[in-house]
Amino acid sequence: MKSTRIIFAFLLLLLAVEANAANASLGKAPERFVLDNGIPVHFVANNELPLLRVAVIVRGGSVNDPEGLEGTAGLMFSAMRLGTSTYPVQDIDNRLDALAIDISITTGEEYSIIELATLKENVDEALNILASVITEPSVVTSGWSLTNRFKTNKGIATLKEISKDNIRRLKDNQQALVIKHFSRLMYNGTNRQRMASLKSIDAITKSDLASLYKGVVTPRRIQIAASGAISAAELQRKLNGALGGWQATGFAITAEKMPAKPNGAVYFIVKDSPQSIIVKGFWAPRKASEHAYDFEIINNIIGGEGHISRLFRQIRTEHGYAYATGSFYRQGYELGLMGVYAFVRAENTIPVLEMINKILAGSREEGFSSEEVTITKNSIRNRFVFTFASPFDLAMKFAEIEYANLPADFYTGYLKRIEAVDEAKMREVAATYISEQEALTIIIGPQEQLTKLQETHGKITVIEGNGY
Amino acid sequence: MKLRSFLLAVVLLCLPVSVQALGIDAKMVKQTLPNGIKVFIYHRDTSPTISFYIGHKVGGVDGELTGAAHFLEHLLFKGTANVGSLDFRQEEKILQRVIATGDALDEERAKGTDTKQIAQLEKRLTELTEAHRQFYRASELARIYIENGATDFNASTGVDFTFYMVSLPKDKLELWARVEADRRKNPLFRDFYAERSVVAQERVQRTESVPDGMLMELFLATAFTAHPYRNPTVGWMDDINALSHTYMRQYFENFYAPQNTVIVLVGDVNAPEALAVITRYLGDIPPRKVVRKNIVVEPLQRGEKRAELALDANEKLYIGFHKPTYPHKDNYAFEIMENILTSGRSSRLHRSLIERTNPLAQSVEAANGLPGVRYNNLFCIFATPLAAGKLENLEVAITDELAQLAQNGIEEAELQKAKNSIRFNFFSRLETNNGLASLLAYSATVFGDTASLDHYLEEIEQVRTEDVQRVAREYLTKENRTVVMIKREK
Repeated sequence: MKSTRIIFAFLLLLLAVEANAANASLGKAPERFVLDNGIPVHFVANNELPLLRVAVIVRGGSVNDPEGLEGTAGLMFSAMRLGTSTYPVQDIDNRLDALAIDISITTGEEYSIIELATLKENVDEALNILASVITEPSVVTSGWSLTNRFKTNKGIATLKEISKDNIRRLKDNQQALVIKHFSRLMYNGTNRQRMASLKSIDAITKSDLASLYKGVVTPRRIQIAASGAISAAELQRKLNGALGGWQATGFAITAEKMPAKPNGAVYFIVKDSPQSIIVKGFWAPRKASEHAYDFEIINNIIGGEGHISRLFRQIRTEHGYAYATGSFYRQGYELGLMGVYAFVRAENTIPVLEMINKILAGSREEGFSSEEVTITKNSIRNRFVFTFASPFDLAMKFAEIEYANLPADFYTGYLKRIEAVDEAKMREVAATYISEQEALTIIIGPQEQLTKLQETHGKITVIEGNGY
Repeated sequence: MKLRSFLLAVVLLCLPVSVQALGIDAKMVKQTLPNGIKVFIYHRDTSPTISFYIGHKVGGVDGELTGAAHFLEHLLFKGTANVGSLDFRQEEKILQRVIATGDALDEERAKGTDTKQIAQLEKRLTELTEAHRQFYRASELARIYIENGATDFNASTGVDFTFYMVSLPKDKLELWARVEADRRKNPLFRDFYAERSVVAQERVQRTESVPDGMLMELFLATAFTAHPYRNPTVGWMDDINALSHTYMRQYFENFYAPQNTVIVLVGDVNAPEALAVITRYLGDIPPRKVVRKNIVVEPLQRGEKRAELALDANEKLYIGFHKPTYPHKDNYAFEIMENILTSGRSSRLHRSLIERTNPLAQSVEAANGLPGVRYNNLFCIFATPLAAGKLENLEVAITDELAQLAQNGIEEAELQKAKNSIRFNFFSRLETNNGLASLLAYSATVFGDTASLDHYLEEIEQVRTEDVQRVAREYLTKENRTVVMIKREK
């Protein structure tokens, strides 16, 4: 190596471990105020662009679907956007589109988000429409029917058809299909396990939607995060005018039932494709767990840190077996979950599965090197500033603390807790959670790979059809 | 990238949007280095971070073999003579042997006759690759970025361009400049053959195992007869397997010349300091001539083109019309048309296909400017029928709606609604450093300057109802149409 190259490499190394001056900067904390009906609001002013963004976080999602009526929450939240007592269906569409106001609704498992984005000049009307969508949706207040198309709002009947069509189309999407079944099996024995089906969608009535709405869309189940070109005082006044007088009581907030742990089972979905997707999962620490910090580093080393992770380096870089491979760590509020995945050419299914198992066994039995741990800690510390890269991100993070009842210093003390993680403890945590006997493996791929796996790996449970 | 995200990105990127109204262009620092690299720096202090983009004007349309621009993008993650090597003198020797063996293997495979020789070369290549690995640390370039807090560390290749992007804490400016300069001065194509397999698998993952991917490939190959927009950016599988080390090295030397490079920084950055750092590290790359092959002009389409994909998959319908690209004035009318047809629940196709008593579609989306904007392109409509067997009805309904647009034009209120929507979408795109940087990088790479962004909203404001009707009449004709669909295998 030439001397200049040695110097250059050395400089890079120095730079690589240099402490980041920005690491402790959270910026200014959001302003918090409470509406007259008790809804907390976290707000960050940002005057650079003439926009306002408001996220209404509702504690309600598919975990609230009644048994046999899976898909109710998805339909109900979507239907809220289809018209209100004040803004009937055609009016709301015309008004929102004419003013370029965007109201989008995302239904999650335990919470859903109604998000508003508007130009500053239309803030008053945008907030009024948002409040109307939340407090008086036609799906609850009108005489719509879900069964007789001629007595119904066309949009809501279509929503049911689209939900069913999306279920039928799952078979065309290997990734969506395998992840859906992965979640179902990981949450065995709980509401999260249940999947919407053609039958359950058909069975949903208007009163089911209304019941769920009344149960979950209430002031005490809502938090708001906002940012934009407006002052906190003005936003508080406007939100109070639009939403502050709304009163409603709904379901009590109760803890979720815990699922049964995976038991090492292997599942296979037969799909005629040149590609297999392998997903392997474990229970993992929940967000508020003392082990969450150890596990974040463990996950990053195994597969969460992209190019430099063990999975990526061995499966992709060294062998060229996969384009997409890695791991994810879902830090749920009630239960955490880790998933390891690889998308591979079908003929490489078994070698890659064995490689994944070997990497996991190595993590469990041999732990992690101090170099890997140092690199990962540096990465988390230096990247932390991006957690709050936009004013809206900042408002959302503080709303989350309140929503999930996390410690007030969850973010301000985050890096300190990451720094306190050590290799010995990580090894204990890895051995506790990454257990082959408490894993679940699911593969989607062609029949010939199933046959080979049955010869080499013993009992495989085949998921027939598409499972709905 | 998923189709929907891809379309959204393309549509947004295709907007040569105006930043003048916000004063962004006026605040931008622009400089061309003596070697031809163009630098654009925009300061904003919403967070102590910087988003970095480097763009090269080379994409799927460039070169003799398809997939080369995309494969090169992968190879630029493999480190350099300085980054990753444990003993470069030794490494260089063995790397030469890996390359020579790989090239010989490619030649034998192309002949396909001597299976014994192929097996011997495969074994030799495996041994040499293993031996080579003793002399470098894989993924060292990624390690440097990731350990220093990188987010959005990635690259992307389209038909028109290649981007390398990363966002870092603001105190990492010099680190970024060092790494990126070294990446362009001393790249080593390590793990060449394993990475070629990765790219082949990427093609399987994104195209060959995904009905939407297969249909898009068929759509472009049908709509374009001669122009390279007909080829997939990832490459045809045979071409991917034929991309040799020698070819890729020449491709790099040609297309990554400084004159074919732009740099964009957005974030908490001091422009004079940043310019000095960029000049110090990247200003000494020698300029070199960029040779481009002749890009064939797509001949005028003189009749409808149709194609079907028979698959065990649910049905889909893609329709496209040839049209001129930017800066042709008709583009702005197409922007409005796209919005009027499918933006929002009150849009024409949403109402006529979805919000009706017997819905025909579960989704419909119009997109102006696919697959790129360096050359004349397509105005497209992508529709998903709500139930099997309604494909023909869906096509008829779309055709009727387009005919009505051409015959009766649009209302003034629709025009105003579309203009509001475009303005809102544009502002939304600027909210993050990364969003603004990608938009600026696109404009600078493809059009040569962010000045092309200057008057977009003004041009949009000038579109009149009669412009939209004229454009519909002129371009949305049967003779100019391509229709492809997935028909479910019985």
